[in-house]
Amino acid sequence: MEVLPVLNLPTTHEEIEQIAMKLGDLLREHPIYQAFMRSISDLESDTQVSDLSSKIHTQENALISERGNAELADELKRLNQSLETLPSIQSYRVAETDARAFLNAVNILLSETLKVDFAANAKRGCGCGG
Amino acid sequence: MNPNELPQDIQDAIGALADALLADPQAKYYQQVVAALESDPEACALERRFMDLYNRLVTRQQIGEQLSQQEVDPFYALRSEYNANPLVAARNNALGAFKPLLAEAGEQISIQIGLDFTELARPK
Repeated sequence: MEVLPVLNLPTTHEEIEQIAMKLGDLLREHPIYQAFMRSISDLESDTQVSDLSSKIHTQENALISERGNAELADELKRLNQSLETLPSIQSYRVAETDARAFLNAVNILLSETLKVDFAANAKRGCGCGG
Repeated sequence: MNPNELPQDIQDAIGALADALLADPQAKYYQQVVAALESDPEACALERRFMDLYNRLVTRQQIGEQLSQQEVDPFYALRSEYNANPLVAARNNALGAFKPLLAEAGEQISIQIGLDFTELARPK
């Protein structure tokens, strides 16, 4: 049987999806990303965080009803500051910063090759330029 | 993090995704019009002028400054000139046609990592 020459075909959308999925798998398995996901999980199971978040939410609603109430605003500020001192929030902030830097590096490398900011332009439903 | 510090398997996967995207006809057309734009000094200068003015005005608005009509009018004029430039228009149209493919790839990455990659990967 005659050997046919190889056709240089464009990549199909299915192939692109597969390759993107493989990249996603590698990112998810990376220790930096794993630490970030663990910090989210820790945050979700921390009752101190949920109690304080709930108080902050109540206070925000109260401030909407009583706009300009300095006492309520001060209390909201104090609650937010207390939230930021909790160990699981502090761990989350560090893990989030690391994960963002890691994913930003991925985006920079991909964008350089494509000559377009991948993350900015891969957003669904965004008709804006950029 | 510097992109060169990424593990080799991730760098390879990024390269494979870029190659796959660049094999698409919309991506090829986009690369062609970007090259045409970049090789036209007049269009490049117009884009730089427009982006500089846009960034300056946005920065001022973000810090709470009010822009006067005398400042806004030249911006509108420059924006019209910018949008009417055939190379800029061709690049923007080509990017519009390329975006759905980028979105498909971005969505697959987001599904795998369980969070929105397009949001997390951009500077805050």
